[in-house]
Amino acid sequence: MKKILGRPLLSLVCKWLDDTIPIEKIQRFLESKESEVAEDVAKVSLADVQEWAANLPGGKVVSKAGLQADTGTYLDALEREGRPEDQEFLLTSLESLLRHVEVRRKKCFPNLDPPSSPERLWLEKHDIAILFCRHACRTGDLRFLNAAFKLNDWAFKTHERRTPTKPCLARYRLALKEQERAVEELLD
Amino acid sequence: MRVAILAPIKSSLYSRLVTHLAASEPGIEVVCIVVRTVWSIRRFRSDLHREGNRLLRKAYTRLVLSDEAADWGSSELLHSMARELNVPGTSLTDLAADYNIPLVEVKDHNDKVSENVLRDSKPDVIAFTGGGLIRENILNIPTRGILNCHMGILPEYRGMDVVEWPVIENRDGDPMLGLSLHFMDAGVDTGPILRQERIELQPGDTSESIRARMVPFMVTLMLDGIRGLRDGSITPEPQSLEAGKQYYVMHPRMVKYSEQRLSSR
Repeated sequence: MKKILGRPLLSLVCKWLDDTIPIEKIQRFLESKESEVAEDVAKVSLADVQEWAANLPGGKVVSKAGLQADTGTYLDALEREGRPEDQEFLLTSLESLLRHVEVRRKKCFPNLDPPSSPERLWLEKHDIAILFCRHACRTGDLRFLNAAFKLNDWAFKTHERRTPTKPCLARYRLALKEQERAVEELLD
Repeated sequence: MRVAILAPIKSSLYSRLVTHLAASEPGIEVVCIVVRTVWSIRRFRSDLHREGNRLLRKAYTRLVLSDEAADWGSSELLHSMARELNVPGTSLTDLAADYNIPLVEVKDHNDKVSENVLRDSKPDVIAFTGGGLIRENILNIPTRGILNCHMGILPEYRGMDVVEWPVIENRDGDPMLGLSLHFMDAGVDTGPILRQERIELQPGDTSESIRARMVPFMVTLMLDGIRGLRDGSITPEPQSLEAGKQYYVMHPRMVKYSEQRLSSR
């Protein structure tokens, strides 16, 4: 009896707990009329990135104090440059971001360092998802696309419930577009 | 050589097989079995945080359908191995009574009760047969170390879902599938390696069928390791961490691609 009743009950609970956003829902979201995507490439100079990297507390992009502001944009710019002398810092930072997301899961990046508005925090989280997708495409490392799936799924639920600001929505759409581009490139 | 067993639940067939074989082995004394209680809110919360709804499926198969239907525990190969080896009883309690081994139930393998029992038992080796992460206070107890059989090839594939990851990463070539027996340390699957076993893909394989084929090897590798340490015929080799990566729980969308790649081979 418990086996007969157990199965449907389990699938109900699993459905309720499921974080995964179906691909059709993502497509609909991306194709909706008011779709506005953030600018593709943030204009950051190498000098800015180097100054930012030199001033990181303890050389870390994420710590107990929070996620360092501009991490996603700056690491993406640094990776685009492709200078061999930056590779060690880049890979260490990317691994620590990946580990943070995977270990803290929905509780990842609870705040920015220095503290900022909730909107800015969302923008930074979307930038990390964009960075992960692009890094996966550049290196073929699927672990980063895997983490981007999770970040985007968790954001979807929140954005569905609470309408985010326009810039935030535009950045999220960019994160989803980058995700789907990476899927096409690496998995399809 | 004194061996202690850490087990996830009393009915775990893998734990029972390892205990039975170790206890029947000359020159090896199983000094205690430390098994986690089925239910603990703290553990449930931390496992749910890590594994999401997969945990519920696991709990359902273990608690409602019993071990016989649990994903990889359901391996017919493992059950026939248990039948062939005449593993007594249906749980670790029966086995402990048969071999006169002290069995202690704990909320968590890292808690004070577990630590005290293990310290008092003075094991040379602890065979870890499942039950969460092991902390520093337990890692330091055995004189030789804690053995764990990881369902992946080390150092390349550390962490979670290491059956699915090699499949999705190797579109055309042979995925690096197999098992590694290693000593546990403070890192995730980073301790010295004692033995490895490669698993070849077979037509029609799914992740579940691969796992099912792996479980009997986990038992034999664990016993080979224990015997090797007893005889001094195994030298654990430290891992080169740069040679591998740590993998995390695979997103369901990625799992689908992994299954597709398996079915299209």
